[in-house]
Amino acid sequence: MSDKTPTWKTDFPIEATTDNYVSRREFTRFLVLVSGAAATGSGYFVIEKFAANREAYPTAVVALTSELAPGHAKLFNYPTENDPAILIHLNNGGYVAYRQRCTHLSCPVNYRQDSDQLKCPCHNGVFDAATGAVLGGPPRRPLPRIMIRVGQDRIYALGIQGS
Amino acid sequence: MRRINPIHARQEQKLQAISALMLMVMVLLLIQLWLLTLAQQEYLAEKSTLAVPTFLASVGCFLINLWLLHYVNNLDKGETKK
Repeated sequence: MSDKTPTWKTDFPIEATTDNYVSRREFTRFLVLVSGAAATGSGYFVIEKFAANREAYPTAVVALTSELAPGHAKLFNYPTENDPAILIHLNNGGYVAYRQRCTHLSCPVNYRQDSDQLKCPCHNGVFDAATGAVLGGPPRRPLPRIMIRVGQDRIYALGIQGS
Repeated sequence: MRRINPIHARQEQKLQAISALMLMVMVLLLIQLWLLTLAQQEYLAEKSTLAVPTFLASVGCFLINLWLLHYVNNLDKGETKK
């Protein structure tokens, strides 16, 4: 046998004794710890669900019916001042309102009257103005819809659908 | 013909059992991570219909994992004693 150091020893100069030994039990224990963390993480969404249920959305006047002609949109904030939203008077006469944040990366979406669509300028996400459904681009979820009630002369926001 | 030492055979059997249990823990953990992404997707979509079912399923997986860990501990302890 030659005394020459094998190539693998120069490539991996770690002494076997200094290597950290992880037993199967320790490794399984770590996996179970991660499993517990995943269960706790899922619990967070349950807490959020019940917190959202307790949160009552305010009824707010968002526009006057006279100020929006068909094919026009108005920006407003709902339910708080930090939540931009968009109210649209569709070409077919109906009213719809959505959160103005694109569901891809939260850029503000704009209403296009010619196509009755909402477009996100950041990555060309396209949503149907009548339903909020995704028509194209990178977003995968529809725009959150704001429930509205059209009164005789005013339009009220009542809450957010699905919350 | 090679003779099989019964003690070695038993150790080999235990090692296989531990590996199988570890594999089950890993599979359950992957299921939990999938459930977590489902709940997150729902949350981001401002819906919450799946929050409770995914949580219950995840806790179930965690409890099964604890039970499996108990077995791994027992088997591994027995293995180290020999």
